[in-house]
Amino acid sequence: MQQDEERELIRRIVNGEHALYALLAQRHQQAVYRLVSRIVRRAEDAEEVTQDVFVKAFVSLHRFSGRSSFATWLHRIAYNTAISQTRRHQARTAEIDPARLAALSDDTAEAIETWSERQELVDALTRTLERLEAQERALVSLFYHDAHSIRECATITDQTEANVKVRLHRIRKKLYLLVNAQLHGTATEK
Amino acid sequence: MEPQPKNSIIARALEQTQAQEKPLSPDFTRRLMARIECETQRKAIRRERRETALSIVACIGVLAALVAGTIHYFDLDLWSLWSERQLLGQPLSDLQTFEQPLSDLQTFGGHLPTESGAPMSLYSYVAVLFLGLLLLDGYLRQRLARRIEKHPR
Repeated sequence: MQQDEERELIRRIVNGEHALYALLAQRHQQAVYRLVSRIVRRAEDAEEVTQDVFVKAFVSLHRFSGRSSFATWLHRIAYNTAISQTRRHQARTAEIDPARLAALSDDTAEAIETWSERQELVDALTRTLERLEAQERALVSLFYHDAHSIRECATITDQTEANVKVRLHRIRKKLYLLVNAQLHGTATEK
Repeated sequence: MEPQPKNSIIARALEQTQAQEKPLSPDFTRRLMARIECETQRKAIRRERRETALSIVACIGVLAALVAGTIHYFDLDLWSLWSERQLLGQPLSDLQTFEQPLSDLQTFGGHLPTESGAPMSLYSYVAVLFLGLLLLDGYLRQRLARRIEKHPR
């Protein structure tokens, strides 16, 4: 569906054709659910939060100005709703010693991008991703999985583009340290 | 330079995580649309109640304006009449003011209200009425909000 078509659909929904909202929801529900699941983690909550996101989006649909794409706007609602939810159910996340994080050279951390896709590494990374903070998991998911641009990530998470780049860099460093700790049994956490 | 997200091992790990996640239930859209329907109805009821409350306030406002207009037209100074009756020690129920002809009323107590520097002018009445309306409006809105909160339907 083209963006223009989507805007036309939104205009019709705002004008009272509420049944058409099912089309919009069907188009975006998987992506929203994916983002919410990454943040919320509890499967039983993720679906409810996704429902809440779509209800909130419906209530505020008349305020959608079209400055960003509908998907970006919806993801922003999803991000905020899911982050609020995680504040109620804090899960244990990995905290890295800041000194170790600072000591790790940028080039070493960036090397994570070029790691070979050995199953052992992928498995370690999968486990490590679960231990990131909610905002970090969201950012990683938006950028690496959904392939949102840095600008879109910044809009969704309400940060500057520079901030998003810095955070992604820090996340890569963190992942590098945590994966290494898993594979070689070195202590990295506080 | 921006990293290439899709080619990264991180993307692969995320895909692996996603494969382990519970998929959305098949009736997700149906349940969502049922909630949307409820939300639409709730909005309509809220709007209806707000409009009813505003209509009541508007009716009271019109009535108050009529009363104020009448007072002004007949040059009545109820405050003076009331306080003079009180001073004479007569009960308020004895106040016969409205049964007396207008000509008697104007000389009641020995003075015309406008000539005597009455304590409350028309403007004061209107101000008091306006204040009353504001209070009533606030009260009605609060009550409405409480009712919606209590019975969200």
